[in-house]
Amino acid sequence: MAIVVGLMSAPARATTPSCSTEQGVFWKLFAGGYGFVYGDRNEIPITDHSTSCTSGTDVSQTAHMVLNGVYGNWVESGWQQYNCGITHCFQWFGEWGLNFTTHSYDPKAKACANPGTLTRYEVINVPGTNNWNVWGDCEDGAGWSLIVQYTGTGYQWGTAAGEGSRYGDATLLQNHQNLQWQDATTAWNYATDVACFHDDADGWMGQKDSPSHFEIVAGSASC
Amino acid sequence: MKNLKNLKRQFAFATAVVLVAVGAGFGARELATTTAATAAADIPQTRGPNAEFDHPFADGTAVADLNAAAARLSFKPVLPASVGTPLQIQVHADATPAQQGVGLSFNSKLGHFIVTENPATMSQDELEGLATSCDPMHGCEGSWTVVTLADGTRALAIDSSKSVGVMWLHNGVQYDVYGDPTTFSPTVAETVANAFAAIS
Repeated sequence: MAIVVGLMSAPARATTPSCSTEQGVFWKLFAGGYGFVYGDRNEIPITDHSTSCTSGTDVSQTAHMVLNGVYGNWVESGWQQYNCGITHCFQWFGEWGLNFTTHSYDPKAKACANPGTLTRYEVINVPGTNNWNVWGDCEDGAGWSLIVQYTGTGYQWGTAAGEGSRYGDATLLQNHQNLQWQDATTAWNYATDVACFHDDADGWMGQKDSPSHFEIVAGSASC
Repeated sequence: MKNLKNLKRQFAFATAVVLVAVGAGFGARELATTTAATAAADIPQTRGPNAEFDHPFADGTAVADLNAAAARLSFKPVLPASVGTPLQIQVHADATPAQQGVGLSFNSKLGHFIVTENPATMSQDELEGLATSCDPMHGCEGSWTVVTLADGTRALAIDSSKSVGVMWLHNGVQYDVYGDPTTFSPTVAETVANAFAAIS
């Protein structure tokens, strides 16, 4: 039987996108042949990204679970940079959707969500259900904080991933590190490897720094 | 080209209001979360991954034909002749045999679309509940409605600026037909769904 690995590639790079246009880099975590996994954890420092856009969201960085491995289905948690007056503001958020269409989106104000803060994000299936809890942690000693619980998503497992997305010409330089996945016993395990599965961000690309760490850097490569 | 494709998919980005849900399974973690509202955007921005309809799976592995896919599945996949030949057939690289499914991508006179067939992980009630739980004030985009296929099966139709499609359950398998709204209409999505439902 002929089998070919089919990574999602992107067409040729284009001009500077508008502030309404979203572009993203998605890398998946490998789970050592376990099968679909039940949770995803990314450690993502909050970074102030430069942009010429003056309204809307600039950047989102997430722990991104691809529900059932279907690219258009997802549940995620992470931080966002958005424009607020003459400066940038930062918040946590959770989101999920099917067929590329958002079902729920939940921003959450968090005083510790500031540039320079090392933060962690999780999306975790509630065992025996199709519900997902999405969490954040500023690693300031306060511990994990629930962002939201999503109920009745239709899915209980998926492919763990990390995502960096931007609108317009925002910079995207970013680390996603200490990448872990959760198994059916709720134990966390470090990713055995990481690899790109989607990249449509002009001028940005992912690079593997270790089996549980990828970085979004300036560059023209796609998956 | 990527940007032109993306621009077609922009639509209003509603101001979001947070309703924090508290449920089971939190252990010793903080449950007292804040309710917050933010002015995240006042320009049109969509959310979620950018749509693309050539590669169904994030963990996709291409196989030669439907028979090659069937050899890996716990159910018999279907492919009606009326929808033509897929450009690509994928199975999951990450799935166990019990989780394994197949994804088909098409780009034909019917439009640019994907069909996935996976072991069902949701109930009929949960499928239909996705329509009633769609709340634009909670970030829900497009329309999520229950429709009835030609064979009487109740299905979920999701139509937005990013995709149009139909999802339904039959004999323990979950089917999902969805495509690029610039080339694939809700009517054609139901026609394709009916073709698959008729032989599944």
